[in-house]
Amino acid sequence: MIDLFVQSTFADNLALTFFLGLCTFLAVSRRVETAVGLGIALLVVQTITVPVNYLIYAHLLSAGAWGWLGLPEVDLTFLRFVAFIGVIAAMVQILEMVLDRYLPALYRALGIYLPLITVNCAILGGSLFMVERHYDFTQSVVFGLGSGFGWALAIVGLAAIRERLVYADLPDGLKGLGIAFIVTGLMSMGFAAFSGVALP
Amino acid sequence: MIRGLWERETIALLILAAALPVGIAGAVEGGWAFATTFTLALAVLAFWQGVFLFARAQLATGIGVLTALAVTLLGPQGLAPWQIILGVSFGAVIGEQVFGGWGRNIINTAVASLAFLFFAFPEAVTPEPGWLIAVSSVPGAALLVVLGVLAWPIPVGAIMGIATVGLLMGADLSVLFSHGAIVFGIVFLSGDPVTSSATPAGRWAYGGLAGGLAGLLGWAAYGVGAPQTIVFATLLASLFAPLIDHTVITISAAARKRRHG
Repeated sequence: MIDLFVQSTFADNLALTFFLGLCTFLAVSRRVETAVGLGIALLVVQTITVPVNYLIYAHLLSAGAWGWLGLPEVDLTFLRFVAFIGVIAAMVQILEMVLDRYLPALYRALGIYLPLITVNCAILGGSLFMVERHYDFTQSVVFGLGSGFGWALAIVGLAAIRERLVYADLPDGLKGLGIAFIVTGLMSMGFAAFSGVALP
Repeated sequence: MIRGLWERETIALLILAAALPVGIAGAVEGGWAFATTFTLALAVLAFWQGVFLFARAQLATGIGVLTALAVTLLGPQGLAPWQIILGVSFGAVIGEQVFGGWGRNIINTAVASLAFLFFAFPEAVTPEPGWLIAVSSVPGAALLVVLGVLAWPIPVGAIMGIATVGLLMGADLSVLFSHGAIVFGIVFLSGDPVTSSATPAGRWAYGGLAGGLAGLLGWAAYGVGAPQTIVFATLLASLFAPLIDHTVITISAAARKRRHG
């Protein structure tokens, strides 16, 4: 379990290894406070949606899930995209209402990127990886937590580096997004160092 | 920042003076292969400094000698010249020059070059610098600490980090400290004043993180030599150094606000 957590946080980092959710990753990493907010939002959504999607997939969609009703030949796996997106959208909607009520400053700072978590590839990708890799319920909880934490860690780290870049003297063409891409590349080199780590 | 004598080149020269014994030890141990790799790496670094000097008026610095030394000591052995040229060019351009030159980079140039070489040419043999490199790094470290170039919490924190992870994993600690790559890396790569944390508490955290990661990669990862261990530990620690500083500053600002209202 620890191994799966470390693996999904570092070596299989959704943002830095699979390049999922890069649009928000690059756009909302200008300030650390906003990045922390978005990172936590994504972590929460990911930790809830992956296990919920697991339950829906295993008990409603996968082949033979309706066997107890005498319908063993029913296979609803083709509905998984719709079902997963629906769960994610509902989750984000709830999160949005909570933030709007209790953390209005963060709600305003995140702006359009909060509803866009719905279509963030990292979230849907996490649920699809869960299906592809045949995780069970516990594993999908750990995977959701680890991959969400990895994404949050990466965006917060990138935001801190980009704040530090005010001391750098960048060529005009690289200011803003250009250097963010280069730093992302360097970060993904660092995170990939964990690919050989095997914890007990 | 220039403060009296303390400008960028003073610090570069002090670091080079501290690295001199290591250079001599490396040359004695490495012989002809050391000389050719070192010269080639130095030439590549000088070339890119020249390019950026003419293109963007970024002043050249002498620190490239340390970068070339680190790449020669820790880099994979038996590489073809084009491989060395490619790796050092990556470090020089992407790791240093596009940020505005040494002093403004976020990743140590040698660390960027070495990480590139380790990933791009994994089949190359990793060297195992012995105790001579380890011993010859110590006087330089003492000199840098006395002069204030190397903040002592970083190496002390790194050693404590390695020891903690080692004890948790029940490993033999003496193996890691007799590795020249680890000692050299802690002093000259992790301890790089540019890419390490700059706040007092942050330096402890940064050193501990670098050492802890080195221990983790050294004992829990398979197929990893001592040079890879310290290079990747330093790479990750430097990437999180700005975040560590940001956290320390935020916490101390909040504490100050509580105290003084």
